[in-house]
Amino acid sequence: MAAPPLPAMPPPQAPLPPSLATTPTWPGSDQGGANGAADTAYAGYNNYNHQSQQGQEYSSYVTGEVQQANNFAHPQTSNGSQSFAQGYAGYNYIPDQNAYNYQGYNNNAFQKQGVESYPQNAAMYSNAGAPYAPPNQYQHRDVASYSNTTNYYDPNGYQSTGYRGEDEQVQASWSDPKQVQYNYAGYAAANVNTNTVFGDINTQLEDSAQYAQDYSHQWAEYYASLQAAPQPVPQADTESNVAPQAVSSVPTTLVSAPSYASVVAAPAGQQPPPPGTAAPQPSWQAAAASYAASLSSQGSTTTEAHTVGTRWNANSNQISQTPWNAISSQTSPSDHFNQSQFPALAKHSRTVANQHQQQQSQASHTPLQHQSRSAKLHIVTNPRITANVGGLGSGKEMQKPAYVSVPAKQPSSSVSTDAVADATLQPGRFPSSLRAYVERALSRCKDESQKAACQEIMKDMITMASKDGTLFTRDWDTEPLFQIPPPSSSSVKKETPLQQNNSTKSEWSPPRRLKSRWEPPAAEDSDGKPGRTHGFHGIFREGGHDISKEKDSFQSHSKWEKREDSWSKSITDSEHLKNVSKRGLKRLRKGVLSSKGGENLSSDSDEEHGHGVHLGSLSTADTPEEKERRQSRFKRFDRGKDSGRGKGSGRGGKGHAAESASARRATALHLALRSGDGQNGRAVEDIDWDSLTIRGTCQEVEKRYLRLTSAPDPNTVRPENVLKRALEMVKSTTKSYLFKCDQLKSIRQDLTVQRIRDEFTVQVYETHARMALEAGDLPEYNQCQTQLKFLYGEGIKGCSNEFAAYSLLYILFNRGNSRDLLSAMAKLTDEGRRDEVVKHALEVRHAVAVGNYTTFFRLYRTAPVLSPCLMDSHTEKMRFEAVKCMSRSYRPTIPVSSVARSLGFTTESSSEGESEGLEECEEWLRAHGAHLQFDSTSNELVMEAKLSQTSLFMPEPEDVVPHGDANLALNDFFSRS
Amino acid sequence: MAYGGYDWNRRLGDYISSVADALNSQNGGQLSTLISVSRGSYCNVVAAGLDQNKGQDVNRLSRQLEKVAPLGEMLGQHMRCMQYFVNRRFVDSYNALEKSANAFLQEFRNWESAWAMKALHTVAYELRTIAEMADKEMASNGKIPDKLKGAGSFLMKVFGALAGKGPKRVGALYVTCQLFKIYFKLGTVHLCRSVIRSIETARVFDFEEFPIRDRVTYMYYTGRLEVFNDQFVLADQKLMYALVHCDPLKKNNIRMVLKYLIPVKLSLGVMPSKLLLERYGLLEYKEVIQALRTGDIRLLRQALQTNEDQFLRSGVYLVLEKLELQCYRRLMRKIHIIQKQKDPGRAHQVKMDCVLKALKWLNIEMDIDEVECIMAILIYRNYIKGYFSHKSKVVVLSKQDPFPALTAMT
Repeated sequence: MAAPPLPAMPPPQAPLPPSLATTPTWPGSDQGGANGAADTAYAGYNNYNHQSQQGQEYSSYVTGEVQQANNFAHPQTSNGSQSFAQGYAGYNYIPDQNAYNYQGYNNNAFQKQGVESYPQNAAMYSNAGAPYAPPNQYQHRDVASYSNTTNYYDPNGYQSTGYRGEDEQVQASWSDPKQVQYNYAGYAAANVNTNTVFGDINTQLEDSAQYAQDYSHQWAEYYASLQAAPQPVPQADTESNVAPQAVSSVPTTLVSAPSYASVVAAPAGQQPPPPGTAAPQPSWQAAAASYAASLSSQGSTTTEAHTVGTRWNANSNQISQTPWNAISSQTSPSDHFNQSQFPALAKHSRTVANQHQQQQSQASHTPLQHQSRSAKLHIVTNPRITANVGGLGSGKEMQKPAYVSVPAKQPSSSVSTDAVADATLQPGRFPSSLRAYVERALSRCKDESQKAACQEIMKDMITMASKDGTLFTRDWDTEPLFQIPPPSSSSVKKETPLQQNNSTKSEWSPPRRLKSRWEPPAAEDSDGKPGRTHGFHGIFREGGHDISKEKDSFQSHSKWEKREDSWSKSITDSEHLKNVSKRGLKRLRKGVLSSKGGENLSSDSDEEHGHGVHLGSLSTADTPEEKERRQSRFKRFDRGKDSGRGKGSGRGGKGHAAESASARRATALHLALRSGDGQNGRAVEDIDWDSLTIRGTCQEVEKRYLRLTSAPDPNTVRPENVLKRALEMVKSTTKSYLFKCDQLKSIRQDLTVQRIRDEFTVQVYETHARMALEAGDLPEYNQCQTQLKFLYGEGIKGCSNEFAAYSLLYILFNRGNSRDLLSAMAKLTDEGRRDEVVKHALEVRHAVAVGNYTTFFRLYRTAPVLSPCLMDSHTEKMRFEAVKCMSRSYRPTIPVSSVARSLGFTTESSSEGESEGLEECEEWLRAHGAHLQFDSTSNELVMEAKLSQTSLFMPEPEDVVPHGDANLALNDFFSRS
Repeated sequence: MAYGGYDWNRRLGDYISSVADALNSQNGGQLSTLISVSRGSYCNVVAAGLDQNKGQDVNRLSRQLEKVAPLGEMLGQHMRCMQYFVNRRFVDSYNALEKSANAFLQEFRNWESAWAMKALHTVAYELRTIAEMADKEMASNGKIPDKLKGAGSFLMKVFGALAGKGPKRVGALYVTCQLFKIYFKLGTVHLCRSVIRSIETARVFDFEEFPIRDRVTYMYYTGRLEVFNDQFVLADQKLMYALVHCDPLKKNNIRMVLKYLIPVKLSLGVMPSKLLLERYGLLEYKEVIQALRTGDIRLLRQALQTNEDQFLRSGVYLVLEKLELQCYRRLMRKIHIIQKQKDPGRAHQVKMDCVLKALKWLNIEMDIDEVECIMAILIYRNYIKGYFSHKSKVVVLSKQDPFPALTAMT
C-alpha cells in the first residue's frame, strides 16, 4: 500500500517569522513537537525527515519533542488511575503504523524506547488496535491513528483519543483536501469543502445529539474496542482527580506534577453546565451543552467521539499557528476570563486563549467561527491542548501547566486556578490590600499587553497564595511588586505566567535545583518563599534556560533520559547561561543542518528560544567568527540581564529606571538580532552598542569579584570615578595578592560591562598585570596582557613598550613557539627597540636562543622593572641546562664558585652575600645530583664534571600542587572564604 | 546606443551560451577560462555587458541563464562578481563570488566525475585572490578585513568536498595549497595542521599522484612550517623536494624555495654557492654566508641587524640567529689552523686569551666568563670535540677530528 497521497502538502517551509505564521502553511517540524506522536511526525516529515540523510540529529530532535508530548500526555493517562506509564503505550503502535505503510515515521530509537518501557501495554493495546482493518487507505490511516491514540492515552480514553485523532486530521486537512472531507464526513453528516471544514464542524457540534450520534455511528467500532481497554468512563475521571498522588508515586518531576494538576481542573469543565445559557456565545454554549449531553446520555463512547472532533480542531489550529500563538497567547487569557460565563469553564480559558489565538490566525478560513471553536476546544481538550502547545513550542510552553498550581484534590472543591485569578480581576472577593496591590501593579503597565501579562502574573501569585492559605494573611501592602514583562520581546513575555506558576507550586515539585551552583548565591531565597522568588527569577529567564530544567526533569522523570538527543542534551545540563548560549548555538547549528531542506525545524525553535535562535541563525550566516563570538558574548549578557532584572526587582523592586533602560536594550538587541537573521550578519555591526551599555550606580569602593552568570545589574556596578578610587585602594592596600587580584578583577569586570576603554582601563590592566607578575600569577598576567594588546592597539596610551617586553619574555618562556616569537618581534617598533626593557628582553631572548647561560644570568641580575619576575620561571630550567653543559664540557672539575657565578647565585664583583650564594649554589647542585668534592689544591669545593655528567637530574619541584596551580592551594582557598 | 546595447546584450548572450556549451560538453578547461575573473579575458566582456545593460534586460538575461541550469544562479552571481571586479569594488565582488562559488560547489558535489576540477580550482584561486583585494579595500576603508578569513573557511568546505576518496581527490592538494597561502598570509598557520593531516594520513591516495605543481607548493609550505618548528632536517627534506621538482624555468618559485632552504641548509652546515645567491637574487644571505665562512661574528650580527625586518617577516631570523655558534666554531677552527702552522705540537690547546684577542679584533667585547660559556656550549652541542679546562683556561681540542662535520652532527 502506498503512502497516503499528500498532494496539497506544501514544501517544507523555511523558518517562519511569527507574522507569517498566519498563513496556513504546514509548519512541519512544529508538529512533531505539538503532537509529539508518531503520526504527526510522519505527517510532517515523511517526505524527508525520516530519511537517514537527516541523520541522528533530526531524529533525536523529534524524539525530544515526542518526549515532551509524552509528558504532557500522562496527566490524562494517570487521570484514569493508571500508572501513567501506560500513557506511553501508544508509542508501541508506531511499529504498527509502519506496518500500515505509514512510510514516514521511522524513528527507531523512539520505538525502541516505547517498547522497552512499556512492553506489556504494548501487547495489550496492540491487540486492541488490531481488529480494525481499514477498507481503504484513508480509513486505514484513521484506524491506525485512532487505535494508536487510544492506546497512547488509553487510561483516559476520551481525551486522548481525540488527541490522536487530531493529528491525523490535521495532517489531512493540510495535506489532502479529500482526506479531510473523508474524515470530516465522520463527524458531520453534511459534507464540507476543505476550506470551511472547521466552520462546518462547529456548526455540527452545535447539534450535539446529532453530532454525537453521527460520530458514534461512524466510529462506534473503534471506541467500543477502546472501551474494552482498561479505560475509564468520563465519570471515572472525577474520581481520578485524586490520582495525582498515585501517579506521583511514580518518579514524578516538577513538570509532570503540574500536568496532573491540570487534569484535575478538567473534570470541573465537564460538569454539565446549564444548557442554553450564555447567549453571547451561542456556539460555546452549544458546545458545552452538547458535551454535557454526550456525557450524560451517550456515555463514554460519544464523549470520546465528540472530543475527537473538537479537539482535532483545536489541534490543527495549534499546530499550524504555534509561532503566532507563542507571541499572542499572552494577551488573550484575560479576555477570555471576562467572556467566560461558567466558572467551571473559566479554568480552561487559558487554553482557550491559546486556541483562540491560534485560530485567529486561521481567521482567513473561518473568521466567524473561531470564537465558538475556541470555546468548544477548551472544554474538551484543555489539559492536553496545553500540553500540545507546550510540545509544539518545543519546550518553552511545556511549562504551560499553569492551572496546575491548584491542587484541587477533589473536584467539588476545584476552585480553579484561573477562576481564582479571574476573581482577583473582578474585585470583591479578596482583601482590599490585595486589590490595592493589583492596582498598583497594573498602574505600572504601559499598554494592554503588558497589563495582560501582569494580570497573568498576579493570577498566578494569588493562586499560589490561596493555595498555601496566605491569601488573606499576607501583607499585600508590603508585597514587592513583580517585574513588568518587557512589552515587546514576546517570546520572553509569553513565558511569564507559566514560568512563575511553575515555580510557585513548589509543593508538588520534587526537589529541583532551581539555581545553578555557578550562579551567585541568591539572597532573595532566604525569605522563606522560595517559590515566589524563583518565579520572578524565572520570569525573565532566557527561554532555553529555564525550560532546560523543565525538560531535564521531564526526561529523568519519564525514563527517557538516557536518550540524550541533541535537543535535550543541549539543554539538560545547561544550568549556566554561558552554556546555554554555547550549546544553544551548537544545537542550532545542528538544527539548521537538519533543516537544510528548508523545513521548519528551526522555525519552531526560533520562536521558542528567541534570542538563542537568532543567535544561532546568525552564526550560521556568513558572519565572521570573531563577530559571532563577540556577539554571542553580548547576547549572553543581554539574556542574563533579564534574569538579573527579575532578581533585582524581586529583591526590592528598586532600580526601575535602570530596568526600563535595560529592557530597552534587550528590545533593541532582540530586534537587532532578529533583523540580523538575514544572510549576512551585518546587522550586528549596526547595533548601537552604546545605547545598550549600562552605567553603574554602585558607590562602594570594595567589591568582590564574581563571574557574571547573568546580566550586570547597574546597582552593583561601580561608575568610573568609584573605580578609580578602588584602584587606588588596591594599590595602597597591604593585603595579600589574592585580595588585590580579586578586587582588580572586579574592577576589570565593571569596566568591561560599562565598556570603558580608556587610559584608566589601561592603568587597571597594567596594574593587575604587574601585580600578577610579582605574585607569579602568570595566567592572570596573560589575561591582562591580552587585553592590553588590544587596548594599545586602539591607540590608548600606556606603558606599551614595557609590556611589549614582558610579552616577548612571556612568549619566550611559556610558549616556546618560534612563530609567536617572530610575530611579537616583528611587531616591535624602532622606537620600541630602543626601549631599555625591550632591549633587555631581546638580549634575553638571544641568550636563550644560543643557550648562553652566563649572559642570561647577567641579564637576570640587571633586569629592569618586572622582567626578572618573568625570567624567574625560566631560571631553574636554564640552570639545569647550564650544569649539564658544564659537566659535559669541563674537565676534570669546575669550582663551585665559578658555577655559582655563571648561574647567577653570586655576582662577580661584590663579595657581600658571596658565601650565602655559594651555599645556595652548593645546595642546588647537590639537589640536582651533581658530584661535589673538596679540592685540596685549590682549597675550594669543585664539581666532578665527568661523574656529574651522568648523575644530574631535575628534582621534582617542592611546591608542586596536584592541580598544578599553586595559587589555588587549599590554604589560600580557606583564607579567601 | 541602442545598437550598442544590443551588441552588448548579444555578447552577454554569447558568453552565457559558451558557459552552457562548456557545461554540456563537460569541458572543464573551457569553463575554467570562462569563469576566471582576475586573469581571464571574459571578465571585461561580461562587466561591460552588464554595465551597458543596466538591468534593462533582466528578464532576457535570466532567460538566458536558464540555459545553464542548474548553474544559472551561480553564473548570475559570477557575472556580478566580474562586474564588481572590473569596477574595482572588490568587497562586493568577493561577496558575489562566494555566493557563486557556493552554488558551484553544490553542483560540483553532485557531479560524479571530476571534469569540472579545473573550474573549481579557478574558483578557489579567485576566491583567495579577490578576498585579498577585498581585505585591502576594507582595510583602507577602516573596516576590519575579514574576507580572506571567510575565503579560508569557504575553501575548507571545498577541501571537504574533495578530500574523500574518488576521482576528485586529485584536486584536493590544489585547494590545500590555496588554504596554505591564506593561512600563511593571515598568520594562522596552526590551521594548516588539520589539512596536512588529512593529506598525509590518507594512505589510499599516493602523494605522488597529485599534480606536480601542487606537490611542489605543498612541500614548500610544509617545509616552511617545519622551519617554524625548528625541524631543520624535515624542513630540508621538504624544501629539497620542492626545489628538485620545481619547474626550473619558474625562477621566482625557485627563489621562494631557496629563501627558506638556504637558512635550513646553513644550519645543517651546507653553504650555497655565490652563484646561486646571485642568480636568484638572495643577496641578503650573502653576508651571513660570508660571516660563516670567515668566523666573523661581527659581520653575522651586522647582517642580521640590517636585514632584521626581512628575516623576521619571512620567519628565518631565529634560524639565522642560531648560526652564531657555527660562527664561533669557525673562529675556533681558524685559530686552530693558525696555531697548527705555528706550533703543531700544541695546536690542540686553544688558550682563552687567544679567543678573546680574536674577538677583540672583531670589535666584540666579551669577558672571559662569557667566552668560557660559549666554549662550553660549543663542546656541549658537539660543534667542537674536546674539553675545557677551567683551571688553565684552555680549550683542549680532540686530536682526532676536532671539528666534526656539521652535516653529521644532527
